[in-house]
Amino acid sequence: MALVIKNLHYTYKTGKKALNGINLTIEEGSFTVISGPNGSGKTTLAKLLVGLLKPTEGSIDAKNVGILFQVPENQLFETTVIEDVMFGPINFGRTKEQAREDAIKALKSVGITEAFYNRDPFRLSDGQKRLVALAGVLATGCTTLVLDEVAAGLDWNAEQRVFGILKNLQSQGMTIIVISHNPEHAVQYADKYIYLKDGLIEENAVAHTRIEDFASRFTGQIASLIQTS
Amino acid sequence: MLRRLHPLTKLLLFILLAVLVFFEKNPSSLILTLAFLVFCAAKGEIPPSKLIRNYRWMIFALVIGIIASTMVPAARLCLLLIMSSVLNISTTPTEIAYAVGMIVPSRDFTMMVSISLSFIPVLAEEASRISDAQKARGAKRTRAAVATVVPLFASAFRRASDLADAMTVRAYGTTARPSRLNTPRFTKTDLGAVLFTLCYAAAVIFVEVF
Amino acid sequence: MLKATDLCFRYGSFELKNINLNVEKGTFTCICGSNGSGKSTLARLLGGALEPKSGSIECDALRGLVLSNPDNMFVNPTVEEDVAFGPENLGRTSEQIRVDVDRALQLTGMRDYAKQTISTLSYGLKQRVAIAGALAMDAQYLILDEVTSMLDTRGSDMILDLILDLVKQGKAVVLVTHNTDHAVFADSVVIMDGGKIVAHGKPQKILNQRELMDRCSLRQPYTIRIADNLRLKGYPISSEAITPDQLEKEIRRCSDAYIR
Repeated sequence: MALVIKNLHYTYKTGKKALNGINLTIEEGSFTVISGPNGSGKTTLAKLLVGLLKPTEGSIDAKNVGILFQVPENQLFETTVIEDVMFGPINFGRTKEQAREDAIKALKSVGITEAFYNRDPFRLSDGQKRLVALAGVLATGCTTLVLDEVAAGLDWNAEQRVFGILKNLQSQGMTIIVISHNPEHAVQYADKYIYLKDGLIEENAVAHTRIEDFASRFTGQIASLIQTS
Repeated sequence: MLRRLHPLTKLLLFILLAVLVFFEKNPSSLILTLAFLVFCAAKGEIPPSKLIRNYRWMIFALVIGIIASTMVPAARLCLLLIMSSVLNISTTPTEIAYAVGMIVPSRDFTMMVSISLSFIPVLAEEASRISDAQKARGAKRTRAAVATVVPLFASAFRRASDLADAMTVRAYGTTARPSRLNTPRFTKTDLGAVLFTLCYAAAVIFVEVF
Repeated sequence: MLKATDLCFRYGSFELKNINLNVEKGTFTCICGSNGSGKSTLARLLGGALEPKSGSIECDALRGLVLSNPDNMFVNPTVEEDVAFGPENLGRTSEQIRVDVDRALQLTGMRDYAKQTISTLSYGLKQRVAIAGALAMDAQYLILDEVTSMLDTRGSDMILDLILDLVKQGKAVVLVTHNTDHAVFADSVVIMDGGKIVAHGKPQKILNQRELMDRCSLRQPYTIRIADNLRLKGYPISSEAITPDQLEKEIRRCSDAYIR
């Protein structure tokens, strides 16, 4: 098991209860999508998974978890692409040469070529920034990858490219957890689908069964029609 | 009641009190100032819990004061902090910016003050998200603090650029004399507040000199 | 009418060429394109934040522009004070500003939030405040650049509802987006690619052209993809049905016919 969560509760210092007793197991090498409306506790869960927050109650058994946050600009710290990707491994105690190797390997896996290594990450296009940020997380050597709204603001092409990379990583053994308010990601890519609402898991299923969760009116009515006719 | 005062009144009185505090040496005058501020807080309908947050500073400052044998400056610092809290809680940022604009008659300057105040929560939250991202990549606390500067600056410049576009589109700078939605007015309450404060100031001066 | 004639613009190595576009009052136009197609630049030109290199823009009324990042658009901390910013800059009297602000808040459904601090609002509500800011200036043409990209499905729906409402009341709305699901509700769709307009017309005609959409890196709307799939399975769904309501009617019609 890559991840075992038992009876997880989390309450913020302000008193707001974000998670109300979550039980979840995620298998190694699986692709899970966690969906739910804003405020359902998705981001809180992500932070708990990676260790930025400690549970108020309950336990999380997870090793080697990396996280890619929503806004790439908040995750780029250095003045060149290669140094930025080396940031993680250096913090984890790798030597400069080792960190450089890790960085190059990570950048290759997301499709960033050598031509970009010495460029300023802030001057890249939005899609490229995300890939560099992703490489930065991969370089830390995590075996489980959590991505918070990885497709927000991306156009169709860029979105497909990112998910292609994720599927590739999965085939190499990485456990992928995507947090997304767009249930189509679940239908297209996931082995497992979790719907979070008000801090509780409402649905924990194999992806294709929850098509009516296209919550917006775009397809909700149609899906229910197809099911009833 | 404190909220209904004209922001300029509050700002000028605040400056007066801040200057006065720096001349207070006698414990009696320090206590007098504390009593005055507690009275102001009560009049400003400020719940004690908000001020209690400042007691942390007070204890901290007092401890430093005792260690450094400089209790009086420590006490002055506390009073100054409480004073700022009272001003901040009873006056909206727009009002503060308006009052500043009356002293410094430059609209651009007033805009700068107002926008800076608006952006404090935004940049603070961004800084916390940036440091989360760094901690997630293994950075220890001190390294995280320093490395936050680069992305935060980059973000601030980007925001400034977007905001400049937004302001242009909303006709900023087209009239020399822009008007206002809510114009604060001077009332009798302002007069009363000024007189009361002057009495207090006189009392402090009396205690100090004699 | 908002009339753009032979617009050209250059930014570094990027170029916008010979843009010709007319927008009528009371219409909803959707400009779709992938990132890098020039749609955001066009939005800023149409909205008045940028000056074209050559060509002209004529407009018979005020234009409002709303950008995508709700954190970077606000000047004053509370809702009504920020909405008042535009009218204040136009030199209106305090009474008039009050009327303008109230009307704008009413149109966007933000009346109850008038005194609230903007930083405490959700992104969806923040976008509504930004739109109110433009409406308070009496903007008749609203250019919205990717205003839903940072919103979730529910937030996006709210904005779309607001857009359709404003159009019904006679305003012109131009929504620039890469999300084609919104385009099914538009009166007219413009496709941009590589700095040029490559297609312009009714959504039924444009959005059904799969090859065109692929070429421009655009995903077809969900409703059209579902209709395509149903057609492949033998249901004769009309290609005129592109909104969820229209598609629902078509599906019912087809399944009724099938049963009989």
